[in-house]
Amino acid sequence: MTGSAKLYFEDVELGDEIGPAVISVADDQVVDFCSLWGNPAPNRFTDQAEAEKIGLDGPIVPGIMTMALVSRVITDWAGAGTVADLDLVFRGTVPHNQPLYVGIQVSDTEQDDDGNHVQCDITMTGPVPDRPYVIGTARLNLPSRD
Amino acid sequence: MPTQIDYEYDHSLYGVEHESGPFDVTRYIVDVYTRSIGDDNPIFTDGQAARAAGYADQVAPPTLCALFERGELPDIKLQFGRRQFHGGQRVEPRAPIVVGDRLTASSHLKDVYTKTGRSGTMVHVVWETTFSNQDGVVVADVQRSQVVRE
Repeated sequence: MTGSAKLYFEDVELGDEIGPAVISVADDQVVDFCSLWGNPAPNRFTDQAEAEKIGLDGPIVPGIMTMALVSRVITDWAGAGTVADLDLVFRGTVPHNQPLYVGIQVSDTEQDDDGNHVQCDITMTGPVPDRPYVIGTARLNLPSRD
Repeated sequence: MPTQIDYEYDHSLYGVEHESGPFDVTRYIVDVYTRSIGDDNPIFTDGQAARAAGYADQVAPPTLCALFERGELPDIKLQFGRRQFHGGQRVEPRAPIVVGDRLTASSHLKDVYTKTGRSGTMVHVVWETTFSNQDGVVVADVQRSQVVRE
């Protein structure tokens, strides 16, 4: 076990709610991400005109970048090396330069021979809480104080 | 009762592994990736801090390998719909990915299925990719769901 977890299994209880963490994504962050991804600007993720060509109101955050942002919120809370499974459904387009609310709720905790597991429900919403951009689950493996 | 729709695609792709790579995990890639998502965790940004925590070098955030799914997968020749979007993504990290790693990917068509909702019928195309490092250690399994709408 590496020493990078920020959270112990005993610190987590069923029903715990973390956040929502409020984040936003600036245009240049998406440009940088797309350049790594082999999808250089301009494209629907970086450019207003390209986005409008396919019926979007404006450029959107790529799905794999959205996942990276959710993962960052989780590791900000639990630490590096804790994510065992992150499974997200993209239900709406994620805009740039707008507040995004990432919430985590602990739905199960379990200890077995393989370790200490925490199951979480994940949401990312914009201004309308009951219309999430992203829903999903995460499974974390945490160290024990014992 | 679910709506039955007609859609055809290339079923011969099932059971076929598509290899891609190598993909070098450079410090530049990890640095730009962490900066673009605003991640300042020293494990992901500082090799010395990562080594002090027991890792071999600066660690890639757990979702980084999804960058390397670059559309090299074959066309399934789906005869349905016109509008396509990224419907979901799953990452299961198996082992740390660190700067200096050289990854290879093995992908296969996992499933093709339909769902009908308020906005109509959609076909989900799910690819599963396993990433391994230069030592043959599986470092992550990634699933990508592409959705095609009527």
